[in-house]
Amino acid sequence: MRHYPFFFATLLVVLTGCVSGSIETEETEECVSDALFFNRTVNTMMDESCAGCHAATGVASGTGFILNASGGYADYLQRNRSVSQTWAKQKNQDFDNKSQLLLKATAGIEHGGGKVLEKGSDREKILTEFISRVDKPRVCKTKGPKVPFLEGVQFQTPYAQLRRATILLGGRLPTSKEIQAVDKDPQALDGIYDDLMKEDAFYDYLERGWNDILHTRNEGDSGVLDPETFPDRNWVGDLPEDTEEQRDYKNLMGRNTRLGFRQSPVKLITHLVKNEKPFTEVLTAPYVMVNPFSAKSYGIADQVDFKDDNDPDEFLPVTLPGGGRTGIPEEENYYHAGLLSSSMFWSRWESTATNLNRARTRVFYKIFLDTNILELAPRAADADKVVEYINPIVDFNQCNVCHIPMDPVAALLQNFDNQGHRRPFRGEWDKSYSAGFNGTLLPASRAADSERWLGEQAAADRRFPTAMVSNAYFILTGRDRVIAPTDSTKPDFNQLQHAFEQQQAEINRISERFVESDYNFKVVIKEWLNSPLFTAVNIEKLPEDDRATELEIVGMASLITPEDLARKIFAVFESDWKVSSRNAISEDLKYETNRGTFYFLFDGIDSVETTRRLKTPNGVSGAVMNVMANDLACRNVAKDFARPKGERILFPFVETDSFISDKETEIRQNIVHLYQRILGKRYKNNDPEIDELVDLWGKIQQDGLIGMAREGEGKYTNRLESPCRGGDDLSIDEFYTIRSWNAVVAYMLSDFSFFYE
Amino acid sequence: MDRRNFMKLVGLSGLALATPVASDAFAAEDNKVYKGNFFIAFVANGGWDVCNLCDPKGQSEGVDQAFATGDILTAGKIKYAPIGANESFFKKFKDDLLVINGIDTITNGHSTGSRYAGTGQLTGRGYPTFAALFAAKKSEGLGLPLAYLSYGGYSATGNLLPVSRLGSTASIERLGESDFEGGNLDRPYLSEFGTKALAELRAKRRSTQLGRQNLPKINREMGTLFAAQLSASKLKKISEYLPNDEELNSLRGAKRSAAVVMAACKAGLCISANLSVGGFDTHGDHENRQNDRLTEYTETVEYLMERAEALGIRDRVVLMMASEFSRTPKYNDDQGKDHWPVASMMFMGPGIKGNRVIGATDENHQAKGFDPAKMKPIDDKTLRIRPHHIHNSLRRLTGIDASDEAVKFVLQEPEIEIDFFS
Repeated sequence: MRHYPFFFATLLVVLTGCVSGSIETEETEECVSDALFFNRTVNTMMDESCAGCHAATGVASGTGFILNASGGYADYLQRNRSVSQTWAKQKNQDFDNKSQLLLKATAGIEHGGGKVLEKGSDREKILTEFISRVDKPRVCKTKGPKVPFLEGVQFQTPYAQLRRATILLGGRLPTSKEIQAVDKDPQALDGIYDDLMKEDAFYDYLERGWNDILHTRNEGDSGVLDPETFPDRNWVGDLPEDTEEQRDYKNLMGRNTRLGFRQSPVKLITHLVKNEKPFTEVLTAPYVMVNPFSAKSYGIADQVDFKDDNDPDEFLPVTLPGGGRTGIPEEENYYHAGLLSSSMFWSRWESTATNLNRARTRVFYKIFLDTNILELAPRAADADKVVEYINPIVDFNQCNVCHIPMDPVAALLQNFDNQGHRRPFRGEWDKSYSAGFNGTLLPASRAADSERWLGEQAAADRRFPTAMVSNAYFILTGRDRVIAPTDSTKPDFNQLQHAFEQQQAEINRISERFVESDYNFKVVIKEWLNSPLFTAVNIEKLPEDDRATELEIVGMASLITPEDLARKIFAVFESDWKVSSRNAISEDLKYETNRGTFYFLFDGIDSVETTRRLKTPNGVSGAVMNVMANDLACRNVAKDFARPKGERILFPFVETDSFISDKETEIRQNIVHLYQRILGKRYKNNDPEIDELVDLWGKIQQDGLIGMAREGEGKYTNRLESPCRGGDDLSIDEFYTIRSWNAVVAYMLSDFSFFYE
Repeated sequence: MDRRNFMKLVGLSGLALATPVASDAFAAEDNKVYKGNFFIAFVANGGWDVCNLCDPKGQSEGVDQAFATGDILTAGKIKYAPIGANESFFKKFKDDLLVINGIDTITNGHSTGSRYAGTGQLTGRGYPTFAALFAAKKSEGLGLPLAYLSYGGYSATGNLLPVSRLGSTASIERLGESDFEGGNLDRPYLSEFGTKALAELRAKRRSTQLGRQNLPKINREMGTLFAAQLSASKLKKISEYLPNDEELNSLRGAKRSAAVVMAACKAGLCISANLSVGGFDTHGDHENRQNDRLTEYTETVEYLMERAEALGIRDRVVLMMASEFSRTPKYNDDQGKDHWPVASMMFMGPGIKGNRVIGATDENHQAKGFDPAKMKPIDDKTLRIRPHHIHNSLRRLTGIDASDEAVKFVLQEPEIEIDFFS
């Protein structure tokens, strides 16, 4: 038997400390809000007492009183509360106007499950209290929460926020002007974020992030177009290839055209965000994004006004007029619905003759409605009972719990064949469910553009904004939002539930701002950047276990992606990390062959075989880090010293002939400079961290000087190895300073904060 | 720093406190070598048809199969379907093989089924797979860079340890010698003194940083990062045990992964691994597509065990063969088979008594009940074999059932203990 300490600890004060009304506010020291009371106590009790039968797959699913488990619908608590309130409000006049919900549960009236709550039991008291609250909603006096969730949590300084934003979003270090502005007034961050989101580098970041969700830019080409509708789709194939020059040209055209198709979905995202269009257009946009080369495949190149017809990176929105043909029947026209009408999107998420778009429907629900179809029925599939039904996916509740939301949407995608070609529906669909969404059937007049109808419905669905906020969180952190716990007998249930509620509240808050801004996705990014869940960096005291559990949602702790690592390296050193003339890790993933030597070893994905990043380091990525620290230090220290002093980015304060004895101040100053440039740490010259590195620097130099004096050409030599030289001008390290600085830079490059932003 | 927190984090990192904090708390002792068993979970992604494998029925009114009942083959006490590469597989492994039929997974959902098969917990989001649990427990104090390798399938870790991928082995030697330019031992980046001084200062900073960081998530990630950096140098050992270049380059898919996993185990870098073959979700053209996948699957098992044999570790490999569920007895309109919750698993390895079939299904591939006292299938279906029964038994077999990790992730409804393995 489970206990409900949260309930009984607060019940007395709730009953005496609240007043009737209709407005809910945050819980106070004396009062627990109705929402919190339901989420934490009533839902838990019902999950244990009622959900066994009153689940979508349970024997009481036909009653209409259905309780959802977490994991499927993100808003499962609201759904459960809503249906419970509806039933609580139904009164039975024959039984002293008592609630039907209580009468059923206590078997006061006929109940298929018999008596599930004993009179006077804790659970019965909880239900009684819930019904009382439904009848008379409580207002809690707003004194603030008893223990603020973020009590003791420490947050980033404005400077640290600035640096994280410029590194992540802009792939660059903050400018001096930006740093000064933020140091002077932290509110300046807001305008800097706005400016950052105008930079091209932000859209590279955004496209990479969205590709981690869509996975569309590593496969596919003009073959995704229906050859009948788009007879020019393979225009590249018709090019001559008799000479080497012709073959090179043909290869280039093929590559540029592929790029036009593969980038099209993420370029739609960029188009919407850059132009601050309502992000609902991701489901409704009346156009497709093309570059000059894919435009030829669509047969509309002469209708698009590109600035440069030879630039494969220029994408423009185009509304296809009947698929490029004239005089075609209305039902075969080409209708646009953002990604839902993208052959590129549906070719990535292809279907089969028997899967019947169901896998596509799963993707649709997950990406656009934050609903995991596969978790709607985590329990119970009784093989003995399935055989009792002629058509179980319609008639058997253990099957139709998924098929009811899934199959009607699958039917709406019937204008696409299994490979993603748009081939207007010609009436052969004959399956168990009629096309529709959320219980509304597709109007007969919309059969020809059913995907567009779906886009309109989904864009208006209340789950759409929260789904986009969850997607933004995933892009920024690499993590999914948390799922509410399911096992209320676990000792950490309340803490996990609390964490879920806190994160969900933040998602809801940002969703509201998103809707208020007319679905401007930039607003979502900014809200997350400023969210305390995102900017938390530490907490005053080591939390006890209970508190530690709920604090799991606080603070960024995701291993940087290889793409972002490559950008960071470039930002710090103004050059890529090269190994044998190849990029070690590349940020430019538009072309699948260009990922770099260590890309996959450092948590890279190909969006085909590997679609999830691990986001946590392991022995393999740890090895890449170790190599990177030493190799980057070696390649950049001497190179920077070889530059004129005024042009150096790493060593503006020292020369290669420094000694601790006479240049300690300058050496300290330069270490401070390196800390800020490489790690974003702002230390004072006399900080103990600086002392440590000065000491390291001095010890290595001393050892080197003694070694060179003793051995000459042995292990200790004044010559630098080839990749560690600063070109021909700096191949000798006479005072062993280059290698001392190599150690300092390598030390910083292996730091936690270099790999976690 | 707070000692309790520090120890906890070290534990989470899969490493034991082997050296004083001031030198490097995250470095394990190099002379510690893992001498225990390995656990390999080989997953058939999408839902395999066990009637085409280890629970054959033959064509009947209730079951569609491509072969007649009379064509069913037997190896030892194990019946198997006469298709694909089954004959070679069952003949080769019959003496080692434990087949568990009639497992009621009570789900037709891919993600739920994968989770249940991998962890033994139906609703256990956040639960580690058995492979992760086993690796976390057994790798304590060893600092292994690839303690849990995953090549597909459900691979949640419950934050017990990091999961690793190793897609390419081409740069492995270079990565293992990070203090030398290009991995060349003649070209150190720093002098021996410099390398040592740098390592000591890094160790000091790691301890300081960890001691100051109290947010649990960030603290755990820090510990994991430090452990990853320090264990990386061991990676180079793997190259000694890979097949020769010609053989390695000829391998594709799961076989290639199997070669890497076995090399990593032999090198003492890996304790558990997921292998997988996909494409089993055959809602259409079932017989052709399913049998093609099954052939790749069974041939991969043969290759895996060949490699284990060649490396001298065959007697240390515990192999679990499983899928999220099975396929319907009857074809659908497209000659496919849909999801069916009654499944089978197969096991072999040390401590597992082979040439046995436990559990059963009826002629329509419905799960029979099970009498745990007699270890026999019965008509009374009050108790049916469920994945958590098997996982509980697996935990006991491998001696980790009482570990802190196993207690933390206790499996649901352990209404009865069943010993499937001995």
